[in-house]
Amino acid sequence: MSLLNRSPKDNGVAAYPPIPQEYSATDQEAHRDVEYRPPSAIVQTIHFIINEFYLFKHERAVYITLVLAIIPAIMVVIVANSDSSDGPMSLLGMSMFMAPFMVSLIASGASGKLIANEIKSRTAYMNLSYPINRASFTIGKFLAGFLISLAFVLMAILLSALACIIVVGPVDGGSLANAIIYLTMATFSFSAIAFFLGVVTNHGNMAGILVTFILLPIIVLSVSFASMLGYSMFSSVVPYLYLMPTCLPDLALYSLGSTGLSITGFAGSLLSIYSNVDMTLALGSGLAFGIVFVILSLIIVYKKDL
Amino acid sequence: MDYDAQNAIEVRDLVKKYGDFTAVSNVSLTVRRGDFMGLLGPNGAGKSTTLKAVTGLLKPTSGSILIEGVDIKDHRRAMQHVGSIVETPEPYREMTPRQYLRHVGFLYGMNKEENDIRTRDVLEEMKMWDWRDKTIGSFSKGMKQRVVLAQALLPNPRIIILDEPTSGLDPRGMVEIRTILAELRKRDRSLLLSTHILSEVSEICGSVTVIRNGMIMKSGAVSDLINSNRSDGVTLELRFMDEMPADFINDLSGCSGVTSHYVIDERCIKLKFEGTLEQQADLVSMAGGSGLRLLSINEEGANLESLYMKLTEGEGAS
Repeated sequence: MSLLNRSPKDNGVAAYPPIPQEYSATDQEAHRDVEYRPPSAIVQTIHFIINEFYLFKHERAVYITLVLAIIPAIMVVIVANSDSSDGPMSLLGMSMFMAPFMVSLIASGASGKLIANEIKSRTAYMNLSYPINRASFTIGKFLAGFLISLAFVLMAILLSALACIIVVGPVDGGSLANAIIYLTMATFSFSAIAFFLGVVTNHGNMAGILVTFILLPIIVLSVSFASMLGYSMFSSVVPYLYLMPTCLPDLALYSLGSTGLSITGFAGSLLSIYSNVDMTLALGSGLAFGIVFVILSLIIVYKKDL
Repeated sequence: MDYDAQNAIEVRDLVKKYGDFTAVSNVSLTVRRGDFMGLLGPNGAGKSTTLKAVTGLLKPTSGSILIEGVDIKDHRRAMQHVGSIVETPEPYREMTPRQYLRHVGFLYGMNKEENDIRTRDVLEEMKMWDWRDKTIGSFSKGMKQRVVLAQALLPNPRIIILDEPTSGLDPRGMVEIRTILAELRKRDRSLLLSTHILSEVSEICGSVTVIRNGMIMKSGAVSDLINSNRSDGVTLELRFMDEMPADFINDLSGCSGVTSHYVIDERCIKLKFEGTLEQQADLVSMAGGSGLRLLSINEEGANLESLYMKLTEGEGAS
């Protein structure tokens, strides 16, 4: 008998096949002409986050990212076992030297193509026709990408710190905490930029890395060089260059007493753009950048025609 | 905004422009509660654009869309009783049908128990229950289409919007889907169906809207539109068991409403007929009462196909 003939209205309940053990609702409960009420927008947003975690789990990139995240810890072990006399903080800073690239790569990889993939694989045509608003979909996707990136970035620094503690000795908790806070904010703003670029270009991965690891740092470097060359209009800007989100991973490394392998790290060492850093202002700037790019993404997704 | 509570879907003066190109121009249509409306038109006519606007997948340039009186701009509320398939969507290929339907059910607000039983129902109905725990990525196009149909029916929706629902299905699958849709009609559901298969509309739908170049050419009850098309004449093919005498052929061709005739062979004749239904009845009675044994009568031109062909060729455009 067809499911359509099985409603209580049609008195077709008795014809329903035996309910397997795994179901506990009765026919009457399950087949009434109920009016389902969609859950709140917040609950739907959380659902999209969890859904994205599930989808990410099936991506091959997860294994590459895992390898990337354990490299710093491996480096600590290798360097400590050589005849190095470095202290734990020095080792930790050294092991995280590629943090600027790592954050850029991970954030771009996890957040850049989230919306683009939905459209390319046509799953967005399903999701956006359900009783949801696009904000739940977009914010859920972004937060999932950010949280996934953050998990890997934190894994990298925490594993590295753990390796330092085990192999060499205790690390400075305050400096480590500062580095973690900077990296968290860096991940947030980089994820937001990569997410935005993915929404705009439909090819988020590369665009995210290009902008956060190359384009923005080149701007920082150019402005500081221009100031050095005597262009006075840039001199007043230089003390605030560290507020660019692209500088956040370098600030994390500075907290650990190291410099990173990045254009801004190079600029920082050479031109002292990190000589007078206000941590609250730097974090606030990173947060503001991130929020602005999420809002921009939201506006574009809202206006997007499928 | 005033609206009739009996209207399931109401599209008013819908316009969608892409730059200078107008995809849909002043389209207005109404699907009443319990009505099944077919949306017909050639490729690029604006059917999918209309359906995408109705489901909120694209923003109209102007005009309004009400689903049970709720503006589609309030998407979450408007779509809560709607199941849809628009523009060959795909479920997540990483998931199994059961996982995907759980995802859909959650968004509609179904609890786990209801979700589980409805999932079983719709997957059984779509002959996909045995595949419930296989990854969708490994499915054929037809199997994916069945999962897509299952998700549209999962929340037991009052309104169903389908764009080419039988695309990718084998003939048996097509018949099964039509049967399911026909049964939904008995349960007071409303359907807006876009398809290229005219027989699907004839079989399932009570009303039809023909759209061309983004504009509505004709809209109304299927039977009314077919009858209105009769006024331009039909071709009757009469086939007899016995041979037709010459005087009988003369009598037939002289009947009121018959404008021309063509003898196929000694047992078969085609008549171009432009008369009334009463005159047609008299003609058939005469043929039947002639002493010759009437084997069959075919009526060409009084069907959806001829109406569609006429409208999409630009003849009789209104």
